[in-house]
Amino acid sequence: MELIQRYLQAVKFLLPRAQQDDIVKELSEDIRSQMEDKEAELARPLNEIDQAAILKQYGHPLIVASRYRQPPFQHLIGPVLFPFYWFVLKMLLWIALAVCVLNSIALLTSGEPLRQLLSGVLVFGQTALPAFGWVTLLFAVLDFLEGKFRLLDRVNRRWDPRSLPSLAKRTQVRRSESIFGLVAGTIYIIWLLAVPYYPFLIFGPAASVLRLTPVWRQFYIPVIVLALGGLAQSAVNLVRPDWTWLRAATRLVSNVVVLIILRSILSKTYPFVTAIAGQGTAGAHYQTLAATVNICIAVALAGTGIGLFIGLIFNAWSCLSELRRFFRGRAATASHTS
Amino acid sequence: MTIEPNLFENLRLELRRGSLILAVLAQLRTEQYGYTLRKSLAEHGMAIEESTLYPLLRRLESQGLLASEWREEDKRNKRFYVLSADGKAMLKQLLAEWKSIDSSLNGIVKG
Repeated sequence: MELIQRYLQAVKFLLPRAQQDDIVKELSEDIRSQMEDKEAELARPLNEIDQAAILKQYGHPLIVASRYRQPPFQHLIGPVLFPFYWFVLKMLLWIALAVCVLNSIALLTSGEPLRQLLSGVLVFGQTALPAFGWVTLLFAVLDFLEGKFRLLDRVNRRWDPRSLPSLAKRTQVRRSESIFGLVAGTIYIIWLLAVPYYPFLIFGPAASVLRLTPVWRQFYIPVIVLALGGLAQSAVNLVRPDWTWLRAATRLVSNVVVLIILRSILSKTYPFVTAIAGQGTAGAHYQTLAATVNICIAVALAGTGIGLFIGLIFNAWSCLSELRRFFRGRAATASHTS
Repeated sequence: MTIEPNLFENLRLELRRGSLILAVLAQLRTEQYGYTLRKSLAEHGMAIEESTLYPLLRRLESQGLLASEWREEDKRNKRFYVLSADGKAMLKQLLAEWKSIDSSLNGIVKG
């Protein structure tokens, strides 16, 4: 009978506390009745193998105990919220992966040794796991509240089908977007090409006292190449608006390159601008102006970096969506022709 | 075309799930305890696992459809279940619903 007691102990451990004794008492009685019937059938006392066979019919203690749980505790996150939970987890996974990859790229471009590069990869676990934990806790609380207060039922009662979002338009790059890209891109490239000869285009009236430092020269050509790439993408999409993958890919590459450039600029303490030498108090004033502009540029670049990083996530997601659409299309074509 | 056994088993369980409630309520028009209830259901072709029956009995009791009490029988404590007044009314309604479903299904199957 020790086996039976061990089984009941295991089941009891997993039961809701308030009902443990009552349920175990009933289960115990049922098992005893079964054993008596079996003993009568076999005309002998049951050995441990016979007892184990009876308990196996009941099922694993986990399964037996789980059937006594009443809502809202049956799931940590139920079927209503689970799709959203899963979506948020996937987004977090990609964000954490992107952070890790960017960190590794930055380490690579900084010439750090391989060990540092690997530590950049390991940062993934430190970033992702706590985030997963907090998201799981949040959704578990939401699910509990939904089950307890029947929030979805209340939403359902108030819901009006006329409030549904309008139909999604077929995926295309809008013509207006391509034309704007061409015009703005052309102006931008002309501006970029003119800036070295006309500092007024950057500094305005302060152009008489401020100058760009040589640090910008190493990024000048890559920035122009990126701008030309964007211009080419707008031109192609004007003719081929259904090539949405081109826009997503161009944006993604542009994001990554600019982020690498920004990382390179901000990791070292460059002066971005310098002031011409002035006499007396004017000289001190010019230096103060240059220092202020340098701080403003640093803050602006950092803010741009954050914005680009967020943009990188969305662009990476867009690229993945385009890839999925591409492979689905190929699969549909293949099944149609077969 | 052979039907996948797991698929049939899953659908069969779904089909039986609702009928089991009706079978349990009908059997408990007379007072029984869990083990004898399970045996009598099995004898009528409605076999039910132990791990399914007892949680079901508790759920029906928490819904006010069954009444239970612990009593000593043959020197052993057993929990006896029987339909409550609400349970009897519910059984009557569910039987009417069952007959309606049966009639509808017959019509659909016959085409």
